[in-house]
Amino acid sequence: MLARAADTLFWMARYVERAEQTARVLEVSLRSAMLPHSQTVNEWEIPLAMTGTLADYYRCYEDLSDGRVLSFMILDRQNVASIRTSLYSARENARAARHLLTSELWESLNQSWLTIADLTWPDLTKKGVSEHLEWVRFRSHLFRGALQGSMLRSEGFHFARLGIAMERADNTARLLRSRWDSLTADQNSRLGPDYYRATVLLEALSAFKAYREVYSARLELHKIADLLLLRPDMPRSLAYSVREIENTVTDLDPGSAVLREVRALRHRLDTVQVADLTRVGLTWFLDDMTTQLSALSTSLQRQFMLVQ
Amino acid sequence: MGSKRAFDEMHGSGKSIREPYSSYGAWLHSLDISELGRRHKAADVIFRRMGITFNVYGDEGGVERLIPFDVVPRILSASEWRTLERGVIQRVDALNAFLNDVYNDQDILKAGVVPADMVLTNAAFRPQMLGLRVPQDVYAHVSGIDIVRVDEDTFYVLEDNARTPSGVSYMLENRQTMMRLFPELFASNAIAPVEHYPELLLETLRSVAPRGVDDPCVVLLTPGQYNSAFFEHAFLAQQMGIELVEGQDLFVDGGKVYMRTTRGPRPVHVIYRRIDDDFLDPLAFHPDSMLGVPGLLAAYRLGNVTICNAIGGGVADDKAIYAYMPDIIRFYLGQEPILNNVPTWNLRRPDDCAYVLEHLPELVVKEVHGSGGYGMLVGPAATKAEIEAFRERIIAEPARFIAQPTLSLSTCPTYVDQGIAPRHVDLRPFVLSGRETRVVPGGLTRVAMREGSLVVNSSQGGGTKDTWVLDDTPRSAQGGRHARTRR
Repeated sequence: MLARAADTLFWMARYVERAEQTARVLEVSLRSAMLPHSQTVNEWEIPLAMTGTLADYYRCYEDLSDGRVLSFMILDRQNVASIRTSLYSARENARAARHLLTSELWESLNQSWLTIADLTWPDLTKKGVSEHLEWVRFRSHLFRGALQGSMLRSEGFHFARLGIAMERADNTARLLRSRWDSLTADQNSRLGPDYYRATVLLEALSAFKAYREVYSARLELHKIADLLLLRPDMPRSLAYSVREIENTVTDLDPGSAVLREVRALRHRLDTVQVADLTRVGLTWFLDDMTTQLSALSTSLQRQFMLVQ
Repeated sequence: MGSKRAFDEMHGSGKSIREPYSSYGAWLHSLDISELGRRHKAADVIFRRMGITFNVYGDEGGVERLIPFDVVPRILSASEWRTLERGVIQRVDALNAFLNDVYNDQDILKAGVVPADMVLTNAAFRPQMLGLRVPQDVYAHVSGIDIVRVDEDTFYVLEDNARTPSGVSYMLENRQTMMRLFPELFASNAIAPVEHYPELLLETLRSVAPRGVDDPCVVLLTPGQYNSAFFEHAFLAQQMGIELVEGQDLFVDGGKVYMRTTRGPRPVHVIYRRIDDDFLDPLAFHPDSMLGVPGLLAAYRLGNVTICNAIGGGVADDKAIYAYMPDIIRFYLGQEPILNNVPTWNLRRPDDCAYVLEHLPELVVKEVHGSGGYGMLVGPAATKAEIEAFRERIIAEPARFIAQPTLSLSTCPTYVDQGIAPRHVDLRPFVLSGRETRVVPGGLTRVAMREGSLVVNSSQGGGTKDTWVLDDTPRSAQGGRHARTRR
């Protein structure tokens, strides 16, 4: 297929995944902010810092408030990281490549965009912020379902799949990185890790039940890290996403030079122990992962999408 | 504005229902108008959800517009269609012979049938094409011939579109939508299919591949997703199963054209381009065009790639050349035109110009190079001030304009807010020329949605209808008879 079309499908999927991830991040903030414990870091700075839009936010507003951050991150047209912008970009990429999409896939994205395009903050709050964030998640599920359930397994499908996996890996690393400090703040207290905060995080990543199923124990920080980073059977984990990247690249071209890079990354996640991570410092590891994922994305784009 | 009683496709000049509408008319009569309104709304939802839109100009969301779709079809009988079909094929064959001639031997200019300066100094004439023999001698591979009707027996060709005519995706989507909304009508009426248009188009494009290429790679070249007709480009590429490319996806190396794929360069043999001549190759035409492919013209001239429609075809669909079409048909084909031209005054002729200036309130004046309904004067609908302003423009540059009588375009029943009312329509059949010249039965019927308006262009608020050509072969007699017995 055309290299440009591959790039378009890759980004279409990345943007849908990004919208979903942003919805999950905001859900965590929304619920954490309601918790009684006072925090050293301001809860509402976390989603802004994680998406690199803190400076942009302060250019528009003087102070931090939940409503402002939420409307900035959900609906703001100028904010490159808002859910609205992500869905717009996803839909514009889909529109450029619509001839390569099944009508179900195209219509699911088009409908998502049309729904949010003219949505105002008062309308949204009338419906409920949490309900809206859930809607975003479900639209993303629908997108993936239409992709899985209707697209021919040709290159176009694999590039979309690659976009989802790449974005998810990156986002999971960033999310945990942005939350780690607040989770560890109470570590030395008698109560262990902040139970409520950990629960909120796991639930927002659809990982709470998985945690119980895998560890059947009380919440422990290193187990949370293990689940979200290293478990290959946890669909939003870093390890799972990197495996998915590896499988997709193999499906695209088993002789690809990038495959070596992907395998090195996967091997590292296979062999590392969570105890090692917490020893060297989890945030250091996550920063390193983010850098490597970004380098990998660039390699993939050079190899297949002729992006210089 | 049309006269009080324009010919109506359903009712003719009287009250009774014309034969092609007999079955549909009975069905419509038995239907509750609110039901029609319900299905009209459903059509709107389908079009919006599917994103069947055209862009007014590129930016975020709000500027994508739906072309109003009307649920009442325009119906032509089999015999009406046979005449139209023969007429448009004849016309396109003559257009192609003309283009082949003006870029090669120029017999028609030597014979003085068409004034040489009108062709050679025409803005759409491309000297780069001189002496180039194109495959099958075909230049206009896809043409849209705009036809209007004024009475039971009289159809006129209003305009030839031999560059990059658009609208065929609406012909196809309108049919799809009608079949979803009114399946019962397709069971009880024998309606000739149009769905095979993309197949025929691909066959046509493959048939003009460069000599010696057995399995040509055909691509569709679009200016990109912000072009007003992008939906159509994507739609046709998808229907034909070919790549939808932009200029940046193609490059020329060693006189051959390639596209950049995920697995390296792949040769391209036929380019169905939806980009104007001027933007095709920055080395040959517009130097700052970002849309084109440097070196494309050179590859074309080497015969390594076929460009469809050929470069320089605009010289044949010019509104000034239009006036000579009957003579062009006679000159090349030795036949009388099957479809007539609208009588046309050519304002470069002083006599014509004087007459037109005196009769502006009755006439339609168009720019020779204009399209899309822009820059035209519809005399009867214009204010005094508008007419006077236009008069100034004509006096300044008479050769830029032609004028035609205000035709009383036929009307077709159309669903509007008040119910069903007559609205003026035209028809654009799409003619394909490759190894042979063919046309699918039907075309795009455009409808002026405003009462009394004669401007059907989508850029001016026009809508579209499904166009039915009734099939008179006995195959579906059962369904037809069934519908008739209910009447």
